[in-house]
Amino acid sequence: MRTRDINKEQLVKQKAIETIVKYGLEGFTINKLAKACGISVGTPYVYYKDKDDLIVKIVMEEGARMEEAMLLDFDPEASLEDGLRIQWRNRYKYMIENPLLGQFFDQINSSTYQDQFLKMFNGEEGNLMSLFKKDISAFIHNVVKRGEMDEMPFEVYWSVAYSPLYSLLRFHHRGKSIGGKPFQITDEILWAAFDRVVKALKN
Amino acid sequence: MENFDHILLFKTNLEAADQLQITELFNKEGITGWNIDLDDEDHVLRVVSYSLKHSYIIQLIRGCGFECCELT
Repeated sequence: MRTRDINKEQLVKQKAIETIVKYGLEGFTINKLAKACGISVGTPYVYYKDKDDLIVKIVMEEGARMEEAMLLDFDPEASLEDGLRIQWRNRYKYMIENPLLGQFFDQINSSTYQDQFLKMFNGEEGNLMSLFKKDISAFIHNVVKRGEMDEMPFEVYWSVAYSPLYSLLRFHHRGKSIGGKPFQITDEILWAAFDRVVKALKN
Repeated sequence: MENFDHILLFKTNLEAADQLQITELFNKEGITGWNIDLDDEDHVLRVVSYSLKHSYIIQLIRGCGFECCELT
């Protein structure tokens, strides 16, 4: 009898993420995944119809988990500094605890699946990350209305607010910064960068 | 634990162009829940059925001149 086994389902998902990060999406097949898991080829098909179904389901599940992690303690009414600090804390924690998932989403975003996911990510209620988008928009709207920050194109805001964080995390995951210098992120470095970002954005 | 005996899996040599033929064949048999993973090297045919047996599906597919065996 073939039965659903939560541990096996988790193993399949975890290995799928690892395999896609390591070898890319193009060459990824369920056969290769089963071999990587040391399970029979049929097992992943118990949980997923095919390769597309597997990728879509993982993105939906992990997207929902990421949304929850990013919104933890986040108040759209918070001041610029407090709200941004929570965003930095949440994103930092998520990326440190899930180093592969950042790379997994990068792979998805530079693949043929991108269009499909952009449609899911269009902000309509109930869609992937819609709550997150709503709260972040409200937060920016509020801080501009209170005169804490000038109005600016969203891309400008995002680049100033988060690029330093993601650069530091990239150095950290590589273990090296510019010129191959060994690097490891610390709370001190993180919050020093954060203070600069707040200075740049705040009126 | 949930039972998954109704998911029947086969290794085949079916191609994208054969899907129409299989659709007609399966429609006649009343099989609606099925798909082929053409990305996979085994071109896995996945059929959801609570009543049919592997051997019956294999006979149907082979009857159309395709290769088909149970995926283990």
